[in-house]
Amino acid sequence: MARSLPSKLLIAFSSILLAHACYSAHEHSLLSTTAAAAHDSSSSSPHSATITSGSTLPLDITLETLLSVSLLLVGIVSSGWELKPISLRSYAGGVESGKILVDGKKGKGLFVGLEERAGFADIRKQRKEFTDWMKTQGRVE
Amino acid sequence: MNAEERDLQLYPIVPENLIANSKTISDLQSLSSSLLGIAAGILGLESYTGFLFYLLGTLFVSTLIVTFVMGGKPEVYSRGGWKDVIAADVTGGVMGFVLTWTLFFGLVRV
Repeated sequence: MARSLPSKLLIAFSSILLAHACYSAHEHSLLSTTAAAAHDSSSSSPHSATITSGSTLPLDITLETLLSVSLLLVGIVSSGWELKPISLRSYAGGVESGKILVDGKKGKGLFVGLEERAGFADIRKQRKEFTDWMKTQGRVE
Repeated sequence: MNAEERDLQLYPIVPENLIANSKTISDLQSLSSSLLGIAAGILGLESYTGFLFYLLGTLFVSTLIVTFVMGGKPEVYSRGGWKDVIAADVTGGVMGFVLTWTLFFGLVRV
């Protein structure tokens, strides 16, 4: 999996955006809780306000979160994941023509073991050669 | 010999590639569902809203996978086509989603 530069940049940028959104949401919940507590300290029921206060998030934090997550997802998905075709026909064709690399180098096809084996020995020719050689040996002796 | 077996005999598949592809897709979806959980936790979604968000998010991720990774032709890389991709996406990452959802809900809001 080789990440391309644009997707790297996209992942980095949207991660920062997501971290910022998370921090903002945390600060907002802290702020609204303390503000509500300070506001409600004089009144009779301090608990009711603190429970309901953290439930609404400002629109800009919501939008930032959604934007950063969708950008991050786009960045991750488009960062060079490789799938191989499952049908034997297209996979074997791709390997043979060099479009699909096997272990990072060009393969010679799936049936290389069958294609590049030694041929049959021509036993008649070898026997004839041996007989000729024997004849020459016999003449010399 | 039924229709499916006959189909497999006529158009054989490479099992190693099938396994490798489904592993790649499950890696992608566990990563993306954790990210969706982070978003849901920050947004402070509760109960059904959170799961609805997960459903929409995984549909988005499946669309991205089919478009970018598979080049718009899912039937070349998985046996069931796009239905298979979406089904694997929705069912596979729920646990990771709930994990990060609750974690970030607690981190942001306590």
